[in-house]
Amino acid sequence: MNNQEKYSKILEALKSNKPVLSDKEKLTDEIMRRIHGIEDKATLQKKLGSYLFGWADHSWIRGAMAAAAVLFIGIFITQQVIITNRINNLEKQLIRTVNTLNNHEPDLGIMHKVLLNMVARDRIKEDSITISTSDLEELLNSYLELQDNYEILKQTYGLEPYIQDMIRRSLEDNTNPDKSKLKL
Amino acid sequence: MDTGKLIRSCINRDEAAFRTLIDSYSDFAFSVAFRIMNDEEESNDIVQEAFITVWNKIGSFDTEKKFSNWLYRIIVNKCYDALRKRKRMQLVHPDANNWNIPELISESNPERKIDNKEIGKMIRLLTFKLSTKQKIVFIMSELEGLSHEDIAEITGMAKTIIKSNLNHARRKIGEMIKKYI
Repeated sequence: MNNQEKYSKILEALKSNKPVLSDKEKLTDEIMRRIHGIEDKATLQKKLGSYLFGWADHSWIRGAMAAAAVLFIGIFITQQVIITNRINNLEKQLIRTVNTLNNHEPDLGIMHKVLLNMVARDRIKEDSITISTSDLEELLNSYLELQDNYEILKQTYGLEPYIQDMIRRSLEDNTNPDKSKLKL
Repeated sequence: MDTGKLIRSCINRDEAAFRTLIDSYSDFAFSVAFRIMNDEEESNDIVQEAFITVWNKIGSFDTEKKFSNWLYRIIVNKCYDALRKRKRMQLVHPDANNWNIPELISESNPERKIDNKEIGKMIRLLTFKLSTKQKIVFIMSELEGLSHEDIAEITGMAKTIIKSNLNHARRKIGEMIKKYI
């Protein structure tokens, strides 16, 4: 017999002799038993689920819980909107205060005006520092106090005309935005 | 009862119908599993697992298609997994065995029935050098007599790959026959 014949013979032998299942009944019973086990487990899980969460099956409970959830979400959104509005109002209030002071142009002297301009300009810069109204007031008061003291000093002791002239020119120069330093 | 009705009853979780389905297909399932695994115990386990999968997934079965092909696919997938696990185990080399295959295929006794143990030995020897894919393609094509279309549907392989695997399998089996038989 050559190889091809042997191959054909072996194939023929294997085809005509199918493997035989020795205990069909036992296999079937075993499969059914395992399926019952799976079914029982599934039933147990279902029962446990029903015991723990069965109350959710009542339609009125489900409806009430849905309504409560919607209510909570509504309250949350309203709260967020109110807080955002309040923050926006506070910011606007601060800007309005600064603008009011700036537009009013009180007779407070050149330094006061420069200071207000600086504050108003800083607002629109990306790296600006926001200053509260109270701090600004304190700063202006300090400046006014300083100016009063200067006037008293000037009246008491007097200043040489050329020094007064130099100070006045320096103050006037400070209104020019190109010059950042006082030239005393 | 025909297979279609049985399957519809199984979809409706009829256990008696499922028992009938097992009775009808267990021989076929065992034959396929045994030819791939060559071990009775492992084949029994695979058949059990396969029918449990059938019970669990029967709802997704397309009743327009052939049930036997679906069952084939489940069994082949189970066998793939089992063979992958078995790869790690020590295999007995063909040189270490006395095969006695010439006696099984002798013309002097053509009526001689070959038992599971001998079938297992023969397939194990012939397919010793085959990869898992080649072995499955060889068994489905040469022993189960399935067409390439059916094999493609069951395994998901392209027909060209099936042909190539089958050619490789035949060549390697020829080498084994030359050496050992």
